[in-house]
Amino acid sequence: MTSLQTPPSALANGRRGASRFSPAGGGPAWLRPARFGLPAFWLILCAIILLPCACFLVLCLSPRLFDQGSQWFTLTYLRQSLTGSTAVAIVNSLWVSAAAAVMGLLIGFPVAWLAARTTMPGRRLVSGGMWLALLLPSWLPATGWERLVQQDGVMYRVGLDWPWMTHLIMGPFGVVLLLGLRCVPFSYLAISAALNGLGQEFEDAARVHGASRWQALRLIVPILAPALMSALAIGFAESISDFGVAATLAYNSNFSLATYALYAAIGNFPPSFPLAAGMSWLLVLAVSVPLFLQARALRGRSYAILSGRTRQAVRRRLSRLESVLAGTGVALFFLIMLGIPGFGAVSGSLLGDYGSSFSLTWVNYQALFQQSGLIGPLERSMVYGLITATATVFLGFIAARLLSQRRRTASTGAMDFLLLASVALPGVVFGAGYIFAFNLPIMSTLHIDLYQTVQLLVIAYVASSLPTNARVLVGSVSQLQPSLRDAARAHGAGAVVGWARGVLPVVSRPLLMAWLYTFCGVFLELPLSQLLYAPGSPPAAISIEDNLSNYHFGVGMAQSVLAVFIAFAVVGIVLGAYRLFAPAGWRRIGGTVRG
Amino acid sequence: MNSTFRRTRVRLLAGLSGAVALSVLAVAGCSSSSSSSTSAASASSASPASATSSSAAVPLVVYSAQGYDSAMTKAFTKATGIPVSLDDNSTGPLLTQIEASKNNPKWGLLWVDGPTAFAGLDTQGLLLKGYEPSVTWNSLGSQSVPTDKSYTPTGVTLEGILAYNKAKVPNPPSTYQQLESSTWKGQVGMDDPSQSGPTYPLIAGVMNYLGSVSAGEKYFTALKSNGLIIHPTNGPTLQALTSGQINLALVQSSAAIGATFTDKNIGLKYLSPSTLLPSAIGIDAKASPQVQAEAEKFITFVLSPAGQKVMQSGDPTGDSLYYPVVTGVNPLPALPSLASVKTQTINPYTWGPQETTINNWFDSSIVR
Amino acid sequence: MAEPISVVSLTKTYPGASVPALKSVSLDVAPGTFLVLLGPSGSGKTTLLRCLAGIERIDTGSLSIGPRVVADGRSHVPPEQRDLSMVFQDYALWPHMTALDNVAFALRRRRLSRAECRAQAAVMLSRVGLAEFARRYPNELSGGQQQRVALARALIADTGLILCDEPLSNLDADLRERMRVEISSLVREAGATTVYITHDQAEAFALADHIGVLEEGVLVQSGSPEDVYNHPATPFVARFTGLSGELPVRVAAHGSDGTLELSADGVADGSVRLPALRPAGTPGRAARPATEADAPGSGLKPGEDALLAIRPTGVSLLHSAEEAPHLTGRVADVAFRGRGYEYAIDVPGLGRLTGVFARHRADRGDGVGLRLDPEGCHLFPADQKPAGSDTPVPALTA
Repeated sequence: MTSLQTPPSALANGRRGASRFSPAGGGPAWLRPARFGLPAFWLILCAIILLPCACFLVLCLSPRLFDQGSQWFTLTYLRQSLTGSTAVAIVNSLWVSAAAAVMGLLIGFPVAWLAARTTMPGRRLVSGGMWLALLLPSWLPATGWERLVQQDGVMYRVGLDWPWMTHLIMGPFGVVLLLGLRCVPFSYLAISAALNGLGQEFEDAARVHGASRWQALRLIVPILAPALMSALAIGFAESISDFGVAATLAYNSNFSLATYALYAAIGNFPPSFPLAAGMSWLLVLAVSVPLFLQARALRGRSYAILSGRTRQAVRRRLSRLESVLAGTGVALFFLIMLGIPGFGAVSGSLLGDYGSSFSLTWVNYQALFQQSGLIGPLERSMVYGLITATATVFLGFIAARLLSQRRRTASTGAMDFLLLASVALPGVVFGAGYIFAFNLPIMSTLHIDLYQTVQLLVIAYVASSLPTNARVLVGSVSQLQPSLRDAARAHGAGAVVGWARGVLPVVSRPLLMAWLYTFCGVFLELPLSQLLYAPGSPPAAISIEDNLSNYHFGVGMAQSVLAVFIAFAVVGIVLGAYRLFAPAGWRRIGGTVRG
Repeated sequence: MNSTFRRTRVRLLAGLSGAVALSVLAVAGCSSSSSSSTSAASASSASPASATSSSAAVPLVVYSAQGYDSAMTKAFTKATGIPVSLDDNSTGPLLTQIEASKNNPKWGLLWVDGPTAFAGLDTQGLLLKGYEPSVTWNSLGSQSVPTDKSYTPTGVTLEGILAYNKAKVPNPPSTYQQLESSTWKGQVGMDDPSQSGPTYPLIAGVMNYLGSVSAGEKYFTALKSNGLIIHPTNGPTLQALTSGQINLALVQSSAAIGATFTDKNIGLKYLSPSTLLPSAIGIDAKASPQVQAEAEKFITFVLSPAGQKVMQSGDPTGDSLYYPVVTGVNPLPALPSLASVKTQTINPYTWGPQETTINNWFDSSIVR
Repeated sequence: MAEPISVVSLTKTYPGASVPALKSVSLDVAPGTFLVLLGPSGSGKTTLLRCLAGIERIDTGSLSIGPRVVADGRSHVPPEQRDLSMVFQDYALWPHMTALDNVAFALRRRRLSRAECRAQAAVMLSRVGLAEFARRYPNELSGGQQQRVALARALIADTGLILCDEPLSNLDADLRERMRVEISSLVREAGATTVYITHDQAEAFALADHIGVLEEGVLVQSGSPEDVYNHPATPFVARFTGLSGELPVRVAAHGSDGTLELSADGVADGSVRLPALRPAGTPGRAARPATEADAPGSGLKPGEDALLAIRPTGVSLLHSAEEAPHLTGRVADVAFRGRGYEYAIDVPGLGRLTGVFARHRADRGDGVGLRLDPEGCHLFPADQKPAGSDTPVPALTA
C-alpha cells in the first residue's frame, strides 16, 4: 500500500472516512461529478496506459492479432523468453534492480534523516540536489563514468593507473552503482515526505521509557515501513526498465540487461515483437513481487502516523565532528551523483570531434549552431514538454489522491499495480504498444486517426510520465487535510476556488517540482519519440540521436549538453518565477512540506 | 461572494485560459511547422509540370535515415509542388514502425542504407514491385538493382573500409585474414549489427567471401579472441579510434571518409573484397496509387542531376560521401577511387533472412 | 520510590525565539507530591515538562531529580537515563505494536525477559481495565482506551517520576472526568512524584497537591490549590483561576479593622456603594499568606487606584429589594444549571459579570441588583497588567 499517512482529521476524530472526490456541489446526486470523476479517470488511464501495454502483451500470446505471426494463440514466445540469452538478461536485470533498489534505500534513508531531523550543514540544499539528480537522463552519468574509467580515460590521463577500478565499474558492480544512485532520489523523496509527517512523540515516548537513541530510531523504522517499501518498489521498477545505463555502461561491459535485450529484439530486422512481448510479461511479473511484499508488510493495518496535533519534530543538534562527517558524506554523495555526469557530458562536448585530444575546444558548439534546423526541434520539444508536464501533473495529482486514500479498495490496488507495472516497461515497449493499439484498423473506423500525429506523441509522453509522477506526489498529497478545502468551501468558495485556496498552497511546491521533473524527462525523451513522432516534426532527442549515431559524435554531445542546459535553464527560470511571484504563504508552507 | 475568492477566481481563470491558449498555440504551431514546408512549397510552386498533382496533392510520407533527406525533400517539394512529411529517423525505429504498423501502414516510401532490409520487407510482400526509373545505371548501379525491382538503389557506400590511426599504424593490413594476427591484438573495433544497420552487410560480406556462414563465424570468433572491441554504431567506433582506444576501425566508408575531415591522423584503406552497400528507396505496396505515383516521382527526382547535386551537398561530411549509381555523376573528390578495389555484392534475398540469426549469434558470441 | 525534584533558576530560550520560554523558574517538589503546572498556552509549562523529561535542553539554571543533577548549563542527562516515564497528550502509542507490546516496552529497562515483561504488562493492562484489549493495535482503540494504555505504560516500570503532558485534553468531555479520577488514583497508588500540566484550572484544582501557575515563562504563584484560589498573588492568577469580572476602583480611606473603603468612579451611576474590603491576602481570612507584607493589596493608600477582582462566589443576585445593592445591572444571558441559574449581567461602566449564580430566575433584559461578598473579592494595586492581555477563563462555578 502506498498510503504513507492518513489525513490527520480522519485519525483525530476517529473518522475512518476515505478522502475520495467530494461532490463539486449542486445538481442531483446521480449527476454529480464525483460519480463521473473516478470512472472518467479510470477511462483515461485505460486508454492511455492499459490499452497500449495490453496490446503489446497480448501480442506475445496472439501474434496473429496484429499481423506479427501466424498463430492465434501460442506460448512459444513466452517459453522462448525464458531460455537462452534472454533468460540471462532477465535474471541479470532482476538481481541488479533489486540490489539497486536496496542501495537507493540504504543511501536515501540516512540522507533524508540527516536533512530532516538534524542540523547538518547544507541540509537546505539536499532537496534541490535530489531533484536535480532526478532530472538527469540516466545515460549521462553512465557516459561520464565511462569516460572516467575507460582505457585511456581521464583517470589514466591524470595518472591514476587503476585497472581494478575500470574492471569494477565496467561490469555488474558499475551497473548496480549507477542504477542505485538513480534510485536514491526516489527513496529520498518518499522517506522525507514520511519523516515530515512523523512527529517527535514516538521517539520521545521511547526515550522517556528507557530506550537509547538508537533503540528509539529502530523503533520508528517500522512506522516508516510504507514509505520504505514504496521507495523499494519504485526503485526496483525504475531500475528494471532503465535503458540509459543498459545501452551505455552495461552494453560496453558486455553485461546483458533485459531492457537492452528487448531493444535488440525489436531492433533486429525483422523485429521479433512477440519475443519482446514475452520478455515484457516477465518484467511486469517481476514488478508484482515488490508490490506483494509491500502489501504483506502492511498486512492490512493502517500505518497512519499523522495526527492533527503532531508536534513538529525538533532537529537534533549535531556535534562539530558529527556535522563535519555528515556534511562531508552527503557532499561526497552529491559530487558523485551530479559531478560525474556533468563531467562526462562536458568533456565529451568540449573535446574536439571524436575527442582525439584533451584540449578543450568550442568547435563542436560552433558546428552545432551552424547546423540548420537546430532551433526547430528544441522549440518543439519545449512545447511538448510544457503540455505534457501540465497534463501529467494534473492527472498525477488525481492519481496520488486516489492512491493515498486511507481505505485501500480493489480499485486503488489495481491502479497501484497498473501504474507500477507500466513503469517496469521500457519506453520502446510503450512506443511499440502505442503503434499497435492506435494503428488498429478499428481505430480508423472509429475515426481515431492518431497514429503519427503530434497528439498521440504527447499522449504517449503523458502516459509514460504519469506513473512516476503519481508516485512522487503521493508523499506530499497524503498530507493533505480535506478540512482545508472544506473550510474554504464552507465559507463561500466554489469547488475550484476552494481547491485553489485550501489545497493548492500546501502542495504547490511538490507539484511544481513534479512538473519540472516531467518537463525535463519529456524534453530529453528518446524511445517514444523515435517510434511515434509525427513526420516532419522531430523533437530534440531525434536530432541529437541523429548526430550521435552517425558521424557527428562531438556535435551530438554538444547538442545533448545544450539540451540538458536548456532544460535546467527552464527549471531555473520556473523556480525563480515561483520564488518571485508565488504568494509568500505558499512558499512557506511548501518549504516544510518537502516534495 | 467574498472578494478574496472572487479575486482568486479571476486569477485562476486567467491562468487557466493562459494555459489553454498556450497549448492551443503550441499545437497549432506544431502542426503548422510540420506543414510549413508544404504550404510554402504549394504557395510558391506554379510550374505547369506539377499542375496536375498539386491540385489534389496528398502528402508523401517519407521514412528516411539518410543525412541529406531533409534537403532532398525540400528540393523535391520545391520542384514538384508535392508536399512531403519527413520521418527522419534511424533505420531501426523506421523498420520497427513499418513492422508494427503492418496491418495499417501509413508510410509512402522508405529510404535507408542496406538492401537486406528491403529484401526482408519484400519477402513479407510490403514493397511495390516492378518499378524502375528511366535512368542509365553505371556498373555499381546495375549490380545493385534487384531482380523483382522491389527497390531502387540511389547510391552506394562500402563496408570493408579500414580507418586507421596513421601515427600508430604505419603499415595497415590489406586483407581480412591479416586482422587475425596478434600484431593487431586488442586494436581492432567494429560496430554492433543489432544497433548499426550497415554492419550486417559487412558480416554477411565476410561470410560470403569466406564461403560459408560457419567460416565467417570462425573468423569473427578469431577476431574476438584477438581482442575485438564492439561499439554500437559508426560514431562511437570512430570516436574510440580517435581517442586511442582502438587503432583500426571497420566502419562504413562514408563514416570513415567523413572522419578524415576532422582528424588528419586517420588514414583509409579498403580491404579486398569490400561489400557494396547501396542506399535504396522502396515504395509501400499498400499505399494508394496516388501516393505510389508521388513516390515514383520522388525516385526520379533523386536520380536526376538536380537530385544528385542535393544528395552530394546535403550531408557533406557524412552520407553525401557515396558513390553514384547512375552515369554522368561523379563522386565527391574526397572519395578514394574504386579502380583498385575489388567489390562484391551480397544477395540480399539469401542473406537477408539470415540476418536475425546471424545477428543474434554475433550478439551472444562476439559482443558479450 | 518517589523522587523529589528541584528546579533552580531554570531559563530556556528556543533557538530563533526573541523571548525566553522559561525565565528563571525555581521550584521544589517534595517526593510523592502531585504537582500541577497550570497556565495558558505559551506559558512555558510544556517547556518545563520537556526539560524535566530531558527532551529539551536548558540554557541556565539547574534541574535535579532526587540527589542527582540531571541538567545544568553544561551537562545534560539524556531521557533514557533519568528513570522517569511520561503520558503524552496524543498518547504516542507506537502504531505497529499491540497494546500489550506498547506497555511491555517500558519494562525493558528493568532488564527482564520478554516473557516476564509481557506478563507484567498484561497485569497492568487489567489494572486499567483493558485486559481483553491487550492484542489490539492502537488504531483499533478509542481515545480513552489509548490513553489508558499510555497510562499503563507509564506506570509499569515503577519509576520515581511520572510526567503528564495534558493527557486529558484530547478526550471527550464526559470521558475526561472519569479518566481524571483514574489517573489520580492510579498514580497516587504508585506513589511516584508526579508533574502534570494542564490549562484547565478545574482539572488542576481537582488533581493537585500543589499547583504552580506559569505566565509567559515565569512562575507567578506556587502553593496548595486552596492557597492559589483564595489568595491569588496577581490579577493574572485570579483571572486564570476564575473570575466573574473586574472593577477598577479607588481607595477612599483606611477603614477600621484593616479594611479599605473603596469608591468606584468608573461606574456612572453614583449610587454604587461598595463594601469595605480587606486587601487581598490579609490575615484573618481563611487562607494564609506567609506574612502580611506578602499580601498584594497591603501597600494600598487612600487615593490610590486599585483593581477589584470579583470571583463568582463574591457576587450574588438580589432576590428582593430589601438589601441595598452594591451594583445594578441588566441581565444579558441566563443559563439553567439544574440546581439554579447562572447569569451574565451587564453593568454600565463595569462591563459584563459572568457566572453569577442565583436560585431564582430573572429574564433577559431584566434590571437586577447585585451584592458583593468581601470573601469572594480580591483587591490588587492598579499598576498590574490590565484585563484583556490574557484570555479570561470561564468562571469556576461555585
